Amino acid sequence: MAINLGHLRRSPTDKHVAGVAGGIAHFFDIDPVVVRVAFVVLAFFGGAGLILYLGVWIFTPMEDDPRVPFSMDVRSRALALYIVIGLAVVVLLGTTFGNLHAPWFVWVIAAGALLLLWRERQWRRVPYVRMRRGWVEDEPAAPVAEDVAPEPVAEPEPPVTPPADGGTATYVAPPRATTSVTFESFPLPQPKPRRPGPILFWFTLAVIALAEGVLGTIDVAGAHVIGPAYAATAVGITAVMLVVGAFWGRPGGLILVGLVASFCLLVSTTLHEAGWDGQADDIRIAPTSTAALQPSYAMTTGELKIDLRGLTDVPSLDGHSLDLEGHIGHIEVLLPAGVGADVVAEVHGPGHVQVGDDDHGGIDTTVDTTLPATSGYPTIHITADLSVGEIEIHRG
Amino acid sequence: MSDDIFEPAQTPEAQPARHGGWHAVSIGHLVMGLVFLTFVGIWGLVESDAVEWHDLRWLLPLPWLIAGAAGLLAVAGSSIRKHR
Repeated sequence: MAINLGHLRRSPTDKHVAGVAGGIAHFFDIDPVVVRVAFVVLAFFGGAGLILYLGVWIFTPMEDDPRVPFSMDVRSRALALYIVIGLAVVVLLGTTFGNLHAPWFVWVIAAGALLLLWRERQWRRVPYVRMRRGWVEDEPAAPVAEDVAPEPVAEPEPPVTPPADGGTATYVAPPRATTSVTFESFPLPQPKPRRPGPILFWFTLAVIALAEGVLGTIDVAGAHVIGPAYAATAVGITAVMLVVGAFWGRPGGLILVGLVASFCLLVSTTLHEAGWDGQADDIRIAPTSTAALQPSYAMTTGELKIDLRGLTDVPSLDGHSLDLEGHIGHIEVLLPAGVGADVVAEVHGPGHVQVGDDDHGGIDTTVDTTLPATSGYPTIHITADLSVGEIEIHRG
Repeated sequence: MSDDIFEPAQTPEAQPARHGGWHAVSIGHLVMGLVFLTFVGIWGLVESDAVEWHDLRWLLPLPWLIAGAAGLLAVAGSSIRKHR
């Protein structure tokens, strides 16, 4: 079933502040505690959680009251919510990877949102009823909802019957029409039916915790357990519970657990294959003579930078071979101006290779190219090999 | 005020009977579950040296192919059951 965020409602019953977390939990059929914890955690990433919370608060009506500060149809509301999510993701990624804090305009928007919400609180003191006005002949007025006074309705002008003989006008009372204002409770939308069966989220977490504990015990007992096995166990258990939950019980929240565990599996496997010991290499070589230049350099994880621009005997570079190797990270070679290079650069996993203006990226990227030397300048042979990361060879 | 204005509240008795925790197949959870299962399977093959690292290039689309095909079959199955 396609998810339409336009149908998202805040929860009037499961609420601590505005019912946002309760509404989201109900909509996605997951435990509200998970949503609340996610909001709090995300709030520490540049305020992404706060932006998300306020956005949903502004654009989403209560389950029992359709009024919102920004009234809009379902499709527009869904679009607005997607924009809010996009903004929160930008702030989250910017804070996490780009050391970018929420820009000032985000906080201006947040302040405006708070103002709107304060206004909403003011008029929400009046309970919402849908009013229908009508004329009801000879019927007693319908009961009026408490606390709401009916609007006064102007009495119709009484008709005056002109006398046939030109005498004094006689007032003939019209048939009395009873003005009634009827109030109906707004028909509450039927809540989204929950899937039957138990919530699988906490059970799955408990099984994962137990399995991790067992693996740790086996590791401590002497049988070597490789690092990625822990993440793989979590992914496997989550996968099984998701397949079970597709037919039985309530698997809400497990896709997120699976994504997080898969990411951990990817990172830990890559680091394990690279033999990373927790220390990043930072190798910078800047020889002043060709004799000081080794034929090969290697690193495990980190950065390997060879800067040949300071060489005083550039012509003796001709025919020199340079073999560079690493697992994860960045290999960079800076050549003196005019020097040519025969390059074979390979990144086996995901990565990027740039030789001069020749730019390639993707998985298992190999570049075999030549940077032509200026007349009278030497040519060097470079071989660079990396598992994951970036290789750059430039002429400075 | 006519009675038809209100929809009667659905009482637990009026709700469709639930058989344990079984429900209509959830395609999203089925697809993602199979993706993760195949993902772990591929990881196991690589770690046990049954396949080489450079084979990942053609192995990585496999989870999506398997899960996508299973999801389509599940959609088709539930659609056929609905129209019977």
